[in-house]
Amino acid sequence: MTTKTGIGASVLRKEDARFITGTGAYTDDLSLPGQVYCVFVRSPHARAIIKSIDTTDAESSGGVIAIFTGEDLRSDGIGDLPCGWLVKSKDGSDMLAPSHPAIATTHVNYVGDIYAMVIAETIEEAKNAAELVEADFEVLTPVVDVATATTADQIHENVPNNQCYDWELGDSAAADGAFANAVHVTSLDIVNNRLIPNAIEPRAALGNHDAASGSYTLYTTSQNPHLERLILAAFVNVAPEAKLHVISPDVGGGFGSKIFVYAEETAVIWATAKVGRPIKWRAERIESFQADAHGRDHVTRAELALSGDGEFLGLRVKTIANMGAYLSTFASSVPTYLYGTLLSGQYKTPAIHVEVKSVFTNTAPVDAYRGAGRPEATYVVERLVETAARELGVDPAELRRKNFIQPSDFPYATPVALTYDTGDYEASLERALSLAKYSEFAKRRNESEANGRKRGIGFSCYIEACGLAPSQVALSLGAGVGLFESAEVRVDVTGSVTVMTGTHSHGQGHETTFAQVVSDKLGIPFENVTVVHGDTSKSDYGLGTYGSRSLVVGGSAIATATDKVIAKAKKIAAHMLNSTEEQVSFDDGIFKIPDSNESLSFGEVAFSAYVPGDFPIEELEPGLSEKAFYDPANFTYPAGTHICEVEVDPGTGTTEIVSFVAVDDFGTVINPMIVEGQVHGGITQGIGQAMLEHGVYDADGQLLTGSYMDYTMPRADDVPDFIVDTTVTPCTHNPLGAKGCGEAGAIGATAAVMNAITNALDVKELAMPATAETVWRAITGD
Amino acid sequence: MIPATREEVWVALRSPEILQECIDGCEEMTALDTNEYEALVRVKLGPVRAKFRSIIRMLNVVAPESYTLAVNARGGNAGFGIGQAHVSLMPSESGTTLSYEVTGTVSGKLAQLGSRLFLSVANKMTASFFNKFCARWDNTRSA
Repeated sequence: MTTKTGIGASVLRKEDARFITGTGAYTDDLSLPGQVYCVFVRSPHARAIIKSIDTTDAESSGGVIAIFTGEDLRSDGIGDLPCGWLVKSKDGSDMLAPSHPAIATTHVNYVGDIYAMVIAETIEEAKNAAELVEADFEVLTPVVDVATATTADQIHENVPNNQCYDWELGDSAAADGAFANAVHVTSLDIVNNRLIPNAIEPRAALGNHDAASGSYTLYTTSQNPHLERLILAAFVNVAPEAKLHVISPDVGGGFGSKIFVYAEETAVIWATAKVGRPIKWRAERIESFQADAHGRDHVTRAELALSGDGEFLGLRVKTIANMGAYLSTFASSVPTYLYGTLLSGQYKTPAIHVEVKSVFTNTAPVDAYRGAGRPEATYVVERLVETAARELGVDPAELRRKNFIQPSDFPYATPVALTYDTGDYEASLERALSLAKYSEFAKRRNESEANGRKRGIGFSCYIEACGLAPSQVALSLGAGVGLFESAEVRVDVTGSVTVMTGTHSHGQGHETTFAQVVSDKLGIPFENVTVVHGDTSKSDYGLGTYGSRSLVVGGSAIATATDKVIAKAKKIAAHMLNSTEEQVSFDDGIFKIPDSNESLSFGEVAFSAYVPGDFPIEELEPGLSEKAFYDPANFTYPAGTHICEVEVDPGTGTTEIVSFVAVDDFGTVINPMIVEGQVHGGITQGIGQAMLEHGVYDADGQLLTGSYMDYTMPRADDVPDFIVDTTVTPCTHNPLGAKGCGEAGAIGATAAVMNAITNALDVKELAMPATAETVWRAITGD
Repeated sequence: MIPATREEVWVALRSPEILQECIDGCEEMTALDTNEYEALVRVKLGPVRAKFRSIIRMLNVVAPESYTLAVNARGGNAGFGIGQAHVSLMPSESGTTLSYEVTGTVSGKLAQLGSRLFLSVANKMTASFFNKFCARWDNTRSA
């Protein structure tokens, strides 16, 4: 069905009316009777022994209800925060995970690590009392530099050399053989700069314990409420799962940083039963900078072996990845299974070997941030390929074309464990070259030169793996949870539909996209479909939203459940039309039988299901509500080409992005407007990493970029009008043919920008972020 | 340049009352020991305003020539400040020449928001201290 609201239509987002009129309900908008407030007392030191904590003065401060330290949680049986993915080292040994208490007991290990929580009647009283908590610290020398962390002081007693694991993937001998036969080798030293996520809504929690039922309710800013509930129940021991109700209401952005189970909501939900009052906490922006999981932070040496005619023969990559002070919920998987597996890119590189050492430092934990591992992989591959083209004096588009996996090669098994199901990389490249007017670039460059400017162009032909799957493969590789998604499609008596999903929308527009899928399939008005998410009591289970999985996994579950509804409705319709199920057709919301003008609307059948007078009650149960659990057969593989063009003022180093083209293959697109918005946001974050953003700690482990005075977020005037288009090769293994679009912009853009700037400056390497100062120094050699 | 003898300056530099009077934002100053003071000082460092409970120790004391002031300032939730000032007094024709050098670090919220500003604020406070301190002598004299 093609309608103004069906699959493929740019329907305006349902949720925006409440967001832009201020009628959304975020965690901090919610209040419960008798609510009190919590402030966390955080370490000012990067690394110290807690010798003692004196809360005497704080406890007698006005309005204070309770003050808890890590010892209070520990003695009450509250467990450590776990890491949900067990990565094994080369030698087969398990990764080393340090103890990660929600509130530190013996040591603080980064600036912002919590050592006490203060609960008071008002937020001001809690803050005043927090000032009076006296801790006696013995300050230790912190480990800050990721490259030398393995030879620095040992941070955690069970983690020698501060090394979490030493992991590898691919055939080392084959890769070495490729390099032995190489005619040309391109190598690069790459630092993937640390990023701080900065969702517009800071993290928050509102916990309540109902003494009568013994059950807990936690409202929190989670991308993943069922996982939050599972971890708080099974690992942290707050309460049995059935006594724990987690609600993620409206959430203002996450970018990965809200996937994880953090110390704050853990302490809040535990403490609510201790004080017998609802407790609210909301991060101040300064706490978000300190204690939200940061992103990226890799140091890499990468080499590409090529034949005389530019064929890729082999790739070797050695990376040190920073985990920060503790393992955040999915930290271990990001620089391994979401990074090493993507190093084949869009190319037929026959031999690849990657080694990743992941290390602890006295900095905030590092975990998934928009793209999670795949931006880092794309950056390595695409910077290498572009550099190789320059070194060989060949057109970078031509070098890529020559090495692309071809449409006839699918399914294509890479040397790094993935099997790509489909794609047409050249189609995206050609479209992007045309939109970027690549053939006229030399002319534009001459014009810039005549004006005293340096112009450069850069490519990024990225691939990503989305909709992490299938469960059994992931579990065998160390994942701690399944990766399917659930859905319930509940048809109401009057034919309207409520859809329950285990994914969570925090800006992605699921209430619109999912409603389009269901209304399209059922042939009912878009307005009659309501999507419910973010409540563990409403949807059966779910793995939340991350890794561009919501449509491809969650949407597929919804499509499957909708098909079950249609199948049952056909049986009911067959009875009502005195026909057989096989004879009944369903199209555009109407059930028909051949050679008859008799028909039934979806609403009539739904009514009969709930008021079962004319109903096959002997064969069917009444009602029309179906569930599905969808476990994908494979990842999906969105891919595309980004082309960035920049102009640099050599006098100041100021770089202007004069053009940015993105041609992406996301498979079937449900709502092109939403997809375009996702691409815009992703590219903007990619540009932010390339040119503006950098999380910096000084040698003492103090966070220097802890506010917007020092951490530069991209703004509208930092980016051009994007030229965005799509090509389509539908995913071969899910019912929607969709591949996911949430991260592509952030994955592809960074390399394109840096390839363009290095092209303009004619330099091989340039550190991110390429600020005006960095660029100016590269030009002047200063 | 202070119009007083080195010995007079030395004694004044160790008086809690005079120290309190000359330190911007100093609300209390108590001598704990011969070479140790406790002070309560209000400081604004960029967007962070904090009250610091500070322990000030005089180290490497070579009376009446030089000493090192070691300041350990605890600003509660705002963080810590650790500073050192090396002070030396040289007799000159018209009195005593006082020179000083300041170093220091901050931690926690102070570092997060104010580390760029810290040394300039520390230098400003030190300069203000010695200006006020020197002005005392001018006032004494003209009085």
